[in-house]
Amino acid sequence: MSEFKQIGRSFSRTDGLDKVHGKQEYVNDYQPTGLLHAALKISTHAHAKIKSIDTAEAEAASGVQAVITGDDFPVTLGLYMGDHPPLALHKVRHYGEPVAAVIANTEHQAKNAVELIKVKYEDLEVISSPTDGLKANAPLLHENMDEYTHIDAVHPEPGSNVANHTKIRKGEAAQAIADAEIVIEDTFSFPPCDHVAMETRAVISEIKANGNVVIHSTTQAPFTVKELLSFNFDIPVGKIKIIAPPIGGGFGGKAGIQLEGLGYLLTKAADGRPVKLVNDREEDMLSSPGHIGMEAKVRLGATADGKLIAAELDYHFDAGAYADYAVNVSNAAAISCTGPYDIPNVRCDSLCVYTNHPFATAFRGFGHVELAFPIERSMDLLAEKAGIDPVEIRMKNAIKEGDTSPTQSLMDANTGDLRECIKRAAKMINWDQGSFIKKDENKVIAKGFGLLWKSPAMPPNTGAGAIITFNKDGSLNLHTGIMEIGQGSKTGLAQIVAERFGTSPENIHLVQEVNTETAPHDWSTAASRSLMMAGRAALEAADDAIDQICRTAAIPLRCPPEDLIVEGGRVFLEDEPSIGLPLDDVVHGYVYENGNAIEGQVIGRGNYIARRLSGIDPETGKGRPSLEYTLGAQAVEIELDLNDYSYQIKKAVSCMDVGKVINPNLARGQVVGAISMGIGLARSEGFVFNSREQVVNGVLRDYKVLRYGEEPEYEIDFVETPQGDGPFGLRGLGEQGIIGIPGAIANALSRATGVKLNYIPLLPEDIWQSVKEASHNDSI
Amino acid sequence: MIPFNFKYYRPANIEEAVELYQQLKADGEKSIYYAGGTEIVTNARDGQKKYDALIDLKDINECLEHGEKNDEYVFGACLTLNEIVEKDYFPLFSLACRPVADHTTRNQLTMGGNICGKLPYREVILPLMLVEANFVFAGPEGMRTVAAAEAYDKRMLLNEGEFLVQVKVPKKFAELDYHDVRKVKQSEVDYPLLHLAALKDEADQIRIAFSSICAFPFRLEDIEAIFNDSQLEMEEKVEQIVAKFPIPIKDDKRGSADYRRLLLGQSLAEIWHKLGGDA
Repeated sequence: MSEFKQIGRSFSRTDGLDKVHGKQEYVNDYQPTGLLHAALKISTHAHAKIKSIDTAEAEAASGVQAVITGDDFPVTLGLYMGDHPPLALHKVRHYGEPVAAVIANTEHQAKNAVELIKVKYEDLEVISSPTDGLKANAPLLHENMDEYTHIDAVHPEPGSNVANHTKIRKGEAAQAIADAEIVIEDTFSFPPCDHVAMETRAVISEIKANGNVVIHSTTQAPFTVKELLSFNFDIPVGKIKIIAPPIGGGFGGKAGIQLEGLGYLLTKAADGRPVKLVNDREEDMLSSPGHIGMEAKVRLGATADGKLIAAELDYHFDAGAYADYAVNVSNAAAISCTGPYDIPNVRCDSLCVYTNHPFATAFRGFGHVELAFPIERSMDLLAEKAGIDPVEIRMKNAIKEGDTSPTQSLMDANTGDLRECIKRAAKMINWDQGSFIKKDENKVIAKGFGLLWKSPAMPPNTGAGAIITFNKDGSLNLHTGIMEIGQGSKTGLAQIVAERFGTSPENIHLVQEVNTETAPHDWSTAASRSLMMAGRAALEAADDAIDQICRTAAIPLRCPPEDLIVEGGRVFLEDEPSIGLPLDDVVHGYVYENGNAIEGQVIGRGNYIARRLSGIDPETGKGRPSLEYTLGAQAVEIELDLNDYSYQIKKAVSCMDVGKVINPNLARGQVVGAISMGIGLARSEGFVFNSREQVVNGVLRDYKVLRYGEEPEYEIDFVETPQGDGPFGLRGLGEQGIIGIPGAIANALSRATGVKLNYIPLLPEDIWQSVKEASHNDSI
Repeated sequence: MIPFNFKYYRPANIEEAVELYQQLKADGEKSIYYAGGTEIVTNARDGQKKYDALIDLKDINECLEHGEKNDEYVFGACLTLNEIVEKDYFPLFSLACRPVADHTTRNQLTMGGNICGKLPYREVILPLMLVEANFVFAGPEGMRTVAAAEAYDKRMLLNEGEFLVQVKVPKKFAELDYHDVRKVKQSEVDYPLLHLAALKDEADQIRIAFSSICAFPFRLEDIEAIFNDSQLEMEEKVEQIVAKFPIPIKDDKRGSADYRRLLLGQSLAEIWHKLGGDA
């Protein structure tokens, strides 16, 4: 029998019915009076000087209110670094970059006029990869990098294409590698790609007569947007209101500042009238940011029996044209650079390099899915060289309480039980029945393993808030700054508050839309931190409300408030439950028979701020940046056709230590969704560029995400080692399921083919090429 | 959103449709016959196609006919691929229709649209090339029925102002052994790297039609002669067949010519194996 009544139960998502009935209103569903529509002219070149933009014909077109170009608003914006003009200024740096915008009475007129804008370009030399961008004679994408404002935690290197360089120096890595009995070294890579959230980004912006700025946005971070607009456009922050209805998928892609800066300029150009800008699918993939690419070099040193002693890691990230979140992705990847392994000597240089690719922002897994690919492949290579089973070598090196992280911070008593996760994942995938099985002449079955860890990458002073108000029937309204992005955090928050109130989650009404004017401040619905941080705040708000309820009730009940408890919609004496009051008699003040009233309405207030976190030392990486680490183990089983190298992923398993499962169905849903995204990355997702760095597969006809029917069988399990400071012991689980999957799939396919496959996506033709090359090399 | 304005017509019969086209042409307007619209709409949306008018054929009874007449199956050009798959008069035809796009899109995609469209794949025509199908065209000169060999060469041989009304398939072909091989880059819901349809005729000769391996679908007697030559080893056959291809094997972002060549060899061997070429 569970000690909890509401925690650990699978309540349906509070946002679910409206969504499946098509009743959820998204940003694009809003049609304010006097609405104008904008459309973008986007670049067909990846790197070029803008020689001229002829807007005359577009301006004269029917219904057009204004046409703007970069020259009209020569500003640069940014999330961490101010390097990004909302409309290209003098040159374009990636294919799909917006160069001009038309504002017209209808969307149709705006799109029609965009076709009439004529842009002349002069091609510049392109940077096609981090390697390319790091060459001594590479063209500089941002000549004025030294003039850009940036936050302290980012370390750009002006005069190069390096937007950030994070260093980790723990122990003596080079020496330890030299001393190691076994050393493996290899390179790994993957291209940039896209989130492909179902809802494309959209913004409606308006400037009111009093100068107030009102923006409806598809954002995961309404407060970040508000603060960056204030900073960049010098608008008093209180005069900006962001309204953020639930969004149709974020995955990190809506976590920073996206279209809102341009949106503000659009309404400014239209005398403050409301202007709507909605990305079409192709713009969402190419003009707005996506997933970062990477080139990695890994060197691992171990003892003869496979105990890791050193890692030398060079992570070169393909940021694309602008820094956005990419600088912090490269930073997060350095902080967690080793994956969940105990390695005493570590050197990591994580570089965020500008290229002429569509730029990168946050993406599910934030630095961790990226680092896990080279690390998990390397662990298999090490296992092979050491002659040790891949699961056993992971078990041997798995991080545990008392070890230190790459930033030299102690893995404390809240460290999850990774070995238990490995054990359960191995059992679910039937590892002991063999990881390579020849099914028949043409088919092999192979299995692959991948571990994961993740901590939130967020400022050390990140907080969350919660407010509880009451309805006349005694039911609660929970206000937070957490966004509903499809992840179901709000349902979990309702369960947390319901548990504390001894009531059903149905009695907790959730404010789904976030309005920055009324919601408590929140950093961003990102980093898988919502349930932990807002959960703590909500618990404090619940306790605060309960205190007030007991205080009010104690007066007519003529008892000490501390003898009262709240449960089942009543407040009553704990030791004599028949003496009590229904909550609706208390939460708006108690009223005596003669009309006298006391105390007034209850407003619960709670907040939480991360404890004892710090930034990291710029030279050594030493510090404590991580709120908590979720640990886990994942594995896949694939079946490969040895003729054409097509394959199917038959089964995917995952076991994570999440501290406490609040809602089993939603937790499973998050993990399954994350795994399917990981399969997408491993199997097919990646931009393909031609020699001019134009994206040749920037449409969903050519860019393939995983479809229903291509899903494997999933088996999901959780270990519950409590997070001492998490509400009911929980830690984050939203992103984590993606992290180990690309490595696990590449490991399985490498095992199936007997060839090192150190890249994703793994397309059958590419596997065939790799096998051909390997046999060619062997024969030399 | 389609950024330009256009007229939309939905004629009730063949004559009206044909006349409309002529009238619009006389008025200097560019019109297109329209069926499922998946290709026209997506191309218009991304600016690859522009037109003044669409003439939707989906109200024309003959274009929606789906049944048996004497010794033939009749397939109206505006039948959706799902309708053809679900009725399944001719299993090899269903096999060719089923993998095109996804199920939702196949509620919209039409047989005629797939065959007459501009995309290079046109997989639905493969079985029709194998079975001596008859194509019924309508145009300013009236109706005409054309044998497959004359109706298609690299593309449907429609005259200006003509459209495909129906296809008629002799029933006897539905009884024959067949095999269909389709290879993709990765996702099943994608244009193929190659798609082959094969059928063993009454004289025990295997007929093969090819899609996606080159820039247009084709069937060649020379190729079938090589394929049915029991003196040749499979590798020799493939070698000689490739040499007979009307144009070189396609090399594009979906797959290299080398990989397609590999898949072709495997697919031909599979057809030979399945249809018992030796027997």
